[in-house]
Amino acid sequence: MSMQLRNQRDERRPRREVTPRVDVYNGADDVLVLCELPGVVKEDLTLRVEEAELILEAARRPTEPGAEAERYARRFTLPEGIDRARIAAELEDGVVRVTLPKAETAKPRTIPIT
Amino acid sequence: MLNSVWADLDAFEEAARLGSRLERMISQIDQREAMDAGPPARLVDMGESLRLELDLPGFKRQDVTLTLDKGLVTVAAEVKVEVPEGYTPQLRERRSHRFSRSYRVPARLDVQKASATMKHGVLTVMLPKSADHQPRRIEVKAS
Repeated sequence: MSMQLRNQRDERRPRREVTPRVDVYNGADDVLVLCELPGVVKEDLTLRVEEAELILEAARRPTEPGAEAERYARRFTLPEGIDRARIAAELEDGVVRVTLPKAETAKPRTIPIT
Repeated sequence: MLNSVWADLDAFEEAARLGSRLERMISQIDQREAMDAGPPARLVDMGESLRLELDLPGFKRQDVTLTLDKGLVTVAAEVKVEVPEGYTPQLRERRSHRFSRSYRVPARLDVQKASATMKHGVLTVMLPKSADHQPRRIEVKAS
């Protein structure tokens, strides 16, 4: 199962939009996405699934008064066999960890020989 | 005849493959060099103090050492990004890194009053200016 990554380099995007660094790991029960979002608090992070895409958007509140907020955005095409209802995420030390559980039917299975 | 055409096609594909591999290698080198320069940092003059901010996502408080020597602030830190056990990496953009970087700050500092916090993957160092470098209001007298 591979995770397709769509690169979103749009010339018209806001100047302060940053493509955050991401790691994707594939496990037996789930796919893990770890994304670096320094300075982002939970309230300013949104994760949503739209059709076959997982969309991550976050804003970093400026620490300097009057400065523009920095925006992070990244999109992924979800692989087949992800149990979308059970997608979970936690944010710690400026890194969000998204767990994409595999549906039972998508897991590798050993068939016993009788 | 047919064979030679195929051979040419193969050579062409091979060249294209090599090209994209080279491109990938170059982008990887770029990334490493950016890391060596230290993480993104901002120095803001707050008037009574200077504030130094460094983006350190995934770093814990104990991964960072901070030293102050007059006008020089040195941040040394190390973080390891490891593949979680039982998982195979599919995309790795995050990097383990180790750096030591010094920032020369323009104002004389009161080293004793300096403080630092680590929150949401950002290190914030507050560096109060020494008494004789505090902002001062100069009254314009009427002549």
